[in-house]
Amino acid sequence: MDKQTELMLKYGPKDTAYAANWGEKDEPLLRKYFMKAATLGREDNPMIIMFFDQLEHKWNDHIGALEIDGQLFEIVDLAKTEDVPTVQGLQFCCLKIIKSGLSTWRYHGVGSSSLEARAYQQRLFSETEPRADMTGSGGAQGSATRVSQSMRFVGIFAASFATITVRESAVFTNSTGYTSGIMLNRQQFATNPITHSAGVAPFTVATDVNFTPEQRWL
Amino acid sequence: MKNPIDGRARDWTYMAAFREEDLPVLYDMTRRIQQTHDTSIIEDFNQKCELKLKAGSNEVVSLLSGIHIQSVNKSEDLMVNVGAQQCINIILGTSSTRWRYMHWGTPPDPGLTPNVDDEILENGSILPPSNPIDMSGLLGWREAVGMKLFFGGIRPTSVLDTSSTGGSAATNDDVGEIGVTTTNAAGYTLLNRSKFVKNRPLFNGPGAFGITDDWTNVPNVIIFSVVIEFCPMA
Repeated sequence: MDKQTELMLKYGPKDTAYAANWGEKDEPLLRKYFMKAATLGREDNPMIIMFFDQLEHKWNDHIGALEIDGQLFEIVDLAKTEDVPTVQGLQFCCLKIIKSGLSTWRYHGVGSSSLEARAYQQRLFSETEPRADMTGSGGAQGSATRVSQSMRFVGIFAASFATITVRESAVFTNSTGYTSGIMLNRQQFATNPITHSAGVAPFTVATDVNFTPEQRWL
Repeated sequence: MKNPIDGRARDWTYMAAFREEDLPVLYDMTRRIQQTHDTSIIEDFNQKCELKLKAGSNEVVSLLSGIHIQSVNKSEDLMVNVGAQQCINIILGTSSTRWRYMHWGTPPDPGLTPNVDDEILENGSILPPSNPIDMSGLLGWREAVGMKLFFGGIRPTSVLDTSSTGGSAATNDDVGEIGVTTTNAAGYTLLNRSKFVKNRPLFNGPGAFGITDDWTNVPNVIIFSVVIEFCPMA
């Protein structure tokens, strides 16, 4: 591993990502859940906290389920990884803290490359587009919020999304390509990727970038 | 298992004293930073502060502009939770209130240890126009370089004398803590809290006296320089 990635893992924000498959009929419920969440604001949103809690619950071999309008729907399959924010992603965050008028983290992308994540990477290596627009359409494609000292991003990918084994994901400022815009982080689901089949069921990719992680022993 | 690693952004602050006659040069330095965003001036300032700390009080250390640093104190404390939250709000665009003021306080020594849950300074009264320092004007700087944020402020040499119209009064404050804030009024959001517990350079305005390296009594000007680092570079 290169020195910068090692430094990022040790001293940088802690980046945790989940990729989840949902049931065949869950797409409308999923969208409805996030559209309702969007009405509750973008800071310490209880529905976003619940969403991440259920992802972690599922990861720990319990049932991970959400409820909207009295209907319960469950996570079918889950992948989790802890990878890295990128150097240029953190640089852009610092610039945004000082300077107004810059674009924001808005799009969530997924790909199938199994190349390991590094802090200097600036793209997904086998991306399938389109990216999910996390702040548009009233929450129908996901959300970008703050919970305590974390940025939490969720992208919803429709059942109609092209068939893919989700091995990588990232958050971007731009909707397509790599020649403009910045990639915040790169996640690589090395050993437990989820598989999505077009036309069957939706999937989500969720990222938590924690700026004040608890003390780690490395 | 090796050493404990804290992923929280690192924060360190320099408090450097200069002779009062160097004030025009210091104003010119902040003006150039504001106008050109030449952050090498800030990095030189911080490096020279570090050098002065290591070299000791009897060594002469000069900035690029040629003026001598009289004395330096350094604090390595922390970015507080509300500061991290406001940074994220700005990054996500849910708030447009940016970091603008350098707030200083005069707490007892040693007083309270900085804590991640701190939301205000221990003893930093709001006394405009001298406190907090507005970094958006010629009294300071606010810059981002790589994965670091730089903030700086010049402590003016006198305060408005409210007892005498048009007058100014010398201050004699023993600065013991620094924090970067969003506003200059009660209810501000605090980014960091840096505590100076020993060997504080005294601040003194005209007519008062401060401590310089040659131990002669002359007025001092103080510059605060704050660095927030989200991740070190290899």
